[in-house]
Amino acid sequence: MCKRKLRTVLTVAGIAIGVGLLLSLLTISVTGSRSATEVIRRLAGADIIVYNSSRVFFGRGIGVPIQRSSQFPGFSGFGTLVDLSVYSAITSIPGVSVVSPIISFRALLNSTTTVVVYGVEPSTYTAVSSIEVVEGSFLSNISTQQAVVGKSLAEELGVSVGSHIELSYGNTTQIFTVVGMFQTGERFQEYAVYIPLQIAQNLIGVVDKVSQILVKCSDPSSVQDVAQAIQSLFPGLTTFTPSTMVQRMQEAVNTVTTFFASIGGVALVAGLFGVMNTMTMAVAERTREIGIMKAIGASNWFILKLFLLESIIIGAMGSIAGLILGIALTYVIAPMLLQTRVVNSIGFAGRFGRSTTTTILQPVITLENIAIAIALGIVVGVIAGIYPAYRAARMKPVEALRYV
Amino acid sequence: MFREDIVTVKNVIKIYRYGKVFYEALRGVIMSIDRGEIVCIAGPSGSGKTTLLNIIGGLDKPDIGTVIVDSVDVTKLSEAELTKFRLFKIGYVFQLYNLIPSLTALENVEMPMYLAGVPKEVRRKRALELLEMVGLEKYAEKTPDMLSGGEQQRIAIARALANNPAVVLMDEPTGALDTENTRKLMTLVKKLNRELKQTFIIATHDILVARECTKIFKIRDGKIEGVCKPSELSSIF
Repeated sequence: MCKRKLRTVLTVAGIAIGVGLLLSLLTISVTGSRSATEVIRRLAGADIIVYNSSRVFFGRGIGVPIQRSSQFPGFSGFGTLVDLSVYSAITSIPGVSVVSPIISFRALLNSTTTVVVYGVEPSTYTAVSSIEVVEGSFLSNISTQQAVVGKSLAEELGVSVGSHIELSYGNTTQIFTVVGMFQTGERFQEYAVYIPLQIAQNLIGVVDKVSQILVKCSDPSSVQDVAQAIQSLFPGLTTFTPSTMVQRMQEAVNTVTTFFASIGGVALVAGLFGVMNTMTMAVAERTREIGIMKAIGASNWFILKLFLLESIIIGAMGSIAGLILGIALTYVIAPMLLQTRVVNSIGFAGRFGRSTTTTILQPVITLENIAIAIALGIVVGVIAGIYPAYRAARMKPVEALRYV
Repeated sequence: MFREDIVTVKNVIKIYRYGKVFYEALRGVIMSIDRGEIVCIAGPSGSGKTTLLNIIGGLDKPDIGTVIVDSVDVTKLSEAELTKFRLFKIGYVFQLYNLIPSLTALENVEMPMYLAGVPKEVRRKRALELLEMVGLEKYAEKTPDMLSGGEQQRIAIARALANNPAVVLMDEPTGALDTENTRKLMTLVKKLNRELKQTFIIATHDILVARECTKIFKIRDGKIEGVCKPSELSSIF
């Protein structure tokens, strides 16, 4: 093994590629699933989101909607607003338990930072959303200039509970008192501010209009029925059920993971044959050595162990190299997969829509995955080593000694 | 003087099969060797020297006949028992590439004791003693590629003695050595024979080796043609 350094290195590389690919894909899959779970958790409560998918370029030609059904609410600007009359109509649909209107837009905070502002109705919003207030409290009064800001944003601006902030939209600027801070765990989602709905409407100058309506159903199994009912009442609006989105996203992540995992698996099998080849050659090269060892009293078991151990060491080295490669790969592949699929999906839900942010989800390399990767390399070492080691052990000493 | 057979070979026949071709390597070998002798099995290549040595050493089995080494009937042993037999009763020295290249001289000498389960401290001490006995204690930490052919053979002898074997078998031990190293090796063999009462069986076609032995078995075409003393050598070679 040490004598044939290049051969050993190449063999180790063979395993490392397989293990590395599998590790990074396992990690991405786990991260993807976690993000999906995270999305479910954050949206827990909002079973249906109703919004207008026809879009206008705000500020120019209001009321001339350009149909863009693929556009999601909360994304860079906002779609055509929904009339508040929809809100009362939805309330009367059977099976609906809570309805909460939201208006969202971008505004300038303290004349420096662009943030997403959500105008919400505190009583219904807290019933639908699972927002986590870590300091102070959520909005309590619908008519006062209160604001709840994201923790990361607050830290960056040096704002705390009780401070005043300025929100500017167009030529209008209003001052708000910070009453609480929320946390989501994802930095980019915390660049947002919650203010009471009516005050938000006043700030941007609209009346009785909202960006989207969050609906919570009394029975989770009736979500599709309620969504259909809303759809048939308002054919011009779009209903979006987060659970379906989460499911689709999960499927997408799974498909990609399965695809790459198959490549990793094939690489690992190729690596296995590489080790087998190396070990068969090592056994052949060391035929005389095996003969001598047997002549001086080494048992078959001893010879078997010797070569199997060598194969396992190659496997383990492959695992360790694969681990490093896998971690590196994870940080290269993860941004490509997770940024496009997961982060946008969170934006898609329309709550924290900073879609232009470059923040990505941090891939989480779990101990379990590291253990799986190391175990894989070792298992490959064992499987690849068994046959050559068995051949070495079964070698007849007289024949082995004839080999020079 | 009391004589005791350490090796008895009775009517040993060994036939090799290469596909449909049969080759009779040993055709009824009979011999007995006393404890404490340095015996030479002399003969041209292909005469069956190595085959006979391998059968005595439990590396190969005869088709017919019995071989008794130190009161053990080698022909009746199972494969696992043969492994033990080789480990405890036999010491082997081959012509070339005797040592494990990746191990140091000391580790090579320790190897049979390691296989026998001797504790590390004990085997290290004994290995050093053995290296001293063959005059190579200062090369303990050297690997075989750093040693000359003669030195490697002496290390191989030290290894052969590790588990106090009944017999040390040497197959053409001087085949790759020059005259000076051959003489040195035989001097060592005689010294060990004298000091340890160690029995040596040496297969060779080197007259320099045969001359230093106590008894010479002449082998040709798989049969012992005759036995002689070193003084009668000229009639054999």
